[in-house]
Amino acid sequence: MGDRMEDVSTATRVEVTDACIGSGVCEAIDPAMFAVTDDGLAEVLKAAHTPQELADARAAADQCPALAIILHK
Amino acid sequence: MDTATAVTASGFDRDKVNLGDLDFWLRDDRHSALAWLRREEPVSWHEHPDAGKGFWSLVCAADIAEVARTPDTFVSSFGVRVYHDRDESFVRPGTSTMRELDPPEHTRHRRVVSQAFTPKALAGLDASIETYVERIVHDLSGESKVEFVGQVAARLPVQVICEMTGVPESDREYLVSLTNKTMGDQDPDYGSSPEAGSEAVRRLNEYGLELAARRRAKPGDDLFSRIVAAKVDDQPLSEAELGGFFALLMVGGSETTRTAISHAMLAFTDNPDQRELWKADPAGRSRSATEEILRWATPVRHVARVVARDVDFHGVWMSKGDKVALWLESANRDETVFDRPFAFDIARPKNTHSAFGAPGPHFCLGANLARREIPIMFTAFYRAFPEAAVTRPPGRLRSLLVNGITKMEVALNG
Repeated sequence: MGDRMEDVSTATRVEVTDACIGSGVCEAIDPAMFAVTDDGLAEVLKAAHTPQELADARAAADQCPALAIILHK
Repeated sequence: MDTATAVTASGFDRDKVNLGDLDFWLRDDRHSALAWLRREEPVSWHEHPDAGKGFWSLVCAADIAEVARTPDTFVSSFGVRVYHDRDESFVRPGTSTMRELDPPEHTRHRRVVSQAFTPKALAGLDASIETYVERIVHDLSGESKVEFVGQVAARLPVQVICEMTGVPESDREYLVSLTNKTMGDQDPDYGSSPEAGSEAVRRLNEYGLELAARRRAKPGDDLFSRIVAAKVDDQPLSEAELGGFFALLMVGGSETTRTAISHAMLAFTDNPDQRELWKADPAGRSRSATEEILRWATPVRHVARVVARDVDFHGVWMSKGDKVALWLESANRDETVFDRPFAFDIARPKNTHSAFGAPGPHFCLGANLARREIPIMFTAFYRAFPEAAVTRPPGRLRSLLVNGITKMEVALNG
């Protein structure tokens, strides 16, 4: 219960904008968080809850060649 | 052996550092000259008959990244090679494709194929890659010396891209002979010329169109069937776009990874400590080692853009129509990005190299594919030939574009 409350308060929403080129760089970093779908665009599968997920999301945003990943705190 | 890694601090005569000169890229001290340029004149103008009209040269990683990420000012639609001027007519790999498009058109074309090149989609190819690698290694058994580029490095990537694209095995050798001609189009010793390179691209286009016709009649689940069936803005791709797409996949899929594999063999020979580090734990090392191989090799030396409107670039006035070369080979030795940039270090952490092009919309489509082929190749190769080593300095390709190795003798048993 306590954990869940904490998750909600610290969750970081991750967004892929229409600048996406479907390079798959994000999917390589965390396939549980990002997937390139049939339309060739990356999709966000979940928000970043844990420190590891947040680190992955930040790495994906840093390394995205199209600068298409935005983190909303 | 790779004397190009030796770097001196001494100055250079600016007149003798001409990045448009094909001979510059064969010089053993070119990395020193690039380091000097990074320090003394990070944005510089060069003119040479080998490169058509004059052009700006960017050699620092940060400048290169900035331009690659500003596709509305530095455009691709007027050519992406520094020796490509708008008023000449050679056909090159990438002509009529997304490589020479800018957003938003570029984005729509890229999405036709992007899904096939994601890590998840490519994971299914590992078994095929392993089979091809085993076959290549098997074919070397009984030999003591081999010509590594032709017998090893060049064989894998073409098989893999052809399998993805759905090209029958019987046609693959013919296609390799064509991609070789496109890569060597500035090197007469390599049996090619701008005219022969142009003709080879036309033949790749023709083959692509024949394949397209077969796929239209009988679609499969291969990449080219997908491209043939795709619609961009509700329109199927034109004949020129289909043929161009095919040529781009063949050349991009084969000439680059083979160059990375060849340079890796040379680097492991020159740095036996790194080779032992790899062999001790291929699975554990392969990820960082592959990135270091890519940084070290930088198979594509440069990409170019054309300035779309007059711009003040950090105090340098660039005019509309100017060509700008982004020298990836220099970015990958930039001492502000890499510790000990001239050391081949397969455990290098946070290797933010530009071997796939600087980050931006044209980031290499095949990046995830190269990242699978390289470690599978070396894991199997060193398992079979743990002492293999290059015997003497290899042949270098004369090219402003590809950091190519033409021929390289390897003794399989050291």
